[in-house]
Amino acid sequence: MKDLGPLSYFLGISVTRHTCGMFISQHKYVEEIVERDVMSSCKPVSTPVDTKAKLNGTSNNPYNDPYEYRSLVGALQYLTFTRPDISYFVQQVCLFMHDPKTQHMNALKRIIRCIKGTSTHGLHLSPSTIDKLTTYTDADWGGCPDTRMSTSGFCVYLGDNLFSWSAKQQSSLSRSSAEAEYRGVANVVSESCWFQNLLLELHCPATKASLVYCDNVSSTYLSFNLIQHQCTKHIEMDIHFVREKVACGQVRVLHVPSRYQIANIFTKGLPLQLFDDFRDSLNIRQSPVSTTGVY
Amino acid sequence: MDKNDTPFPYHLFQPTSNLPTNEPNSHNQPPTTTVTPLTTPSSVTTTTHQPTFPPSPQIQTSPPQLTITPNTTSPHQIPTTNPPLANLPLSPQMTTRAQHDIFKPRQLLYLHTSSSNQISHLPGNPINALQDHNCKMAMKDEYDALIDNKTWDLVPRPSNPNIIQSLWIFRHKKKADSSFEKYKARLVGNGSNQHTGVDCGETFSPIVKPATIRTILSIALSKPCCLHQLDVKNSFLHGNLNETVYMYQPLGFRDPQHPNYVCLLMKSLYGLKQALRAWYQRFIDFLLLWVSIIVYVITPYLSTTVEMTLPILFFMWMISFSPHHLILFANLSYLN
Repeated sequence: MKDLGPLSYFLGISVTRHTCGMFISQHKYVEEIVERDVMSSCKPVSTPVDTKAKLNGTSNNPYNDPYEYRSLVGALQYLTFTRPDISYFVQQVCLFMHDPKTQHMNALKRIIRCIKGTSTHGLHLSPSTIDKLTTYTDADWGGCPDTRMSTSGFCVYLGDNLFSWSAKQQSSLSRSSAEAEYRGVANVVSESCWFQNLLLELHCPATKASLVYCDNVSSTYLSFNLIQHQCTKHIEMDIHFVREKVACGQVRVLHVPSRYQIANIFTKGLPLQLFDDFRDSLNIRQSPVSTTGVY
Repeated sequence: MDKNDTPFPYHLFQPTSNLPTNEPNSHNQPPTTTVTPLTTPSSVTTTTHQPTFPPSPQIQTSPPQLTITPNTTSPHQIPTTNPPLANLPLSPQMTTRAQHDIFKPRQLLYLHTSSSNQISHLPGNPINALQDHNCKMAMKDEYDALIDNKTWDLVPRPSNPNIIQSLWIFRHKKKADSSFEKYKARLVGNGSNQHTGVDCGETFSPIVKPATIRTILSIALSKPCCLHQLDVKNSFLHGNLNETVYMYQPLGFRDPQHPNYVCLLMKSLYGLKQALRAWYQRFIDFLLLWVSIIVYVITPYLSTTVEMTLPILFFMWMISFSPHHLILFANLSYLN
């Protein structure tokens, strides 16, 4: 066994300590992806996807090299380790791994162009209090044009540090937007429960209730209104799960306006300004070393 | 317009009288053919009657008797005024070195820009690799390391066993700046030949979630923790095997005295199905031993039983998400 000194580089992730925290990035991995692709001379773009309708699988132009498609998507999936801002777009192209079409490959190429322009970005961690969990959750109701499944996304902060996120298509169909959002709330509550247990094992337990921010008013009300409504009886498990946690004080579900709903970035393509704002909120920034000479 | 007039090359018209035409005595050169610089190579070949193009390695035809005048004439005048050599009669004294059997060895320039010693390609199969010196040395290194590690015992071939194949994997090991470092050969077992219940049992090995890594990193930032990175070389080769696994002797390194013996594996190899788990088990056993020693040493300094579990827990939080990389997070403040 060899001691390689302070943590600097593991699993393709470089770790840099600086005065105000830690910076983890995969810029070398990004370069490898861009070089491996045929489009190493492509021009970078600022956002990974445009804001128009989502991808569907009904096109008749199958992509001629599905192996390459899958390989690239797999590479991008690993890149989401330090890049939560692209996780929604990677999730979108992942949906068509079984039968990639030309338009899906174009979407994939756009993601690669985007990460080429932002290859020095990475996740920034800073010293902060670690007694409070803050989570944001959002869902787009019936977003998938083929199946009308909803996509839900969340991000979890420990103090100021982002450490967990997800963009995932829900497994069952929702008949109303409140239902889709509420499923998202249930998902993030289970994630925060797991995380509270982890903190307990590490002997730094979270002393404050975890806050769940959701931009749907109905979901907020559903979490502490104990009356069983007719229209929610088919999501009974989720309802009771969240209510129990709220009742025992572990979780509080609060409302946040859509403009400040950071989890929007996990459910839809956003305009550039909003995308940049949310990306900054996710602590995805340029390497502090590379911006040293800017001032 | 004056600017344009002044640099007009009047002087260029002057040499027109000196142009090498059919009057060779106007120059001081010997009365041989005189070639102006703009004469094309084709006109040269017509006069010399030698196959100069393409140049063959034996015959080097340099025109020793063709005097090339320096560039004094303007290029504009030549094509229209005269093709100077086209009408020349073939001079009988025109000779080449080749006619006198004078051959200069053709100097081939080696203009390749890489380092002087050529890097041999990765061999496609081990038979090709054994013929390549570099690959063979790499294979020998790997074989010696395995023998030193007591990875297997040579045993007579048992009756009706399941014997797995061994494979050689070759690669070029590169430095951090992606320059060539050395040849690397790895002997792996073919895990797809293994049968569950015969020579492999449990294969599960715990994998950490990425969120846990980030959590540990942020906790380490918020508390006075030091982060260290440890590396175990060839970690899978340290795992102890509980199952009985037979493997054919590696290609190219068959024991000359017992060519029909097979290898009974003692330690795990890369490629075996249980390699991950074997390494994990070995590592956990080591850690538990280590932690128990530490706890025994520091117990007098700890007041309550609750605190005594703290270092254990912190040492137990070893993240082993990849066999090659380990991160050990130890909180020094708990040990004081």
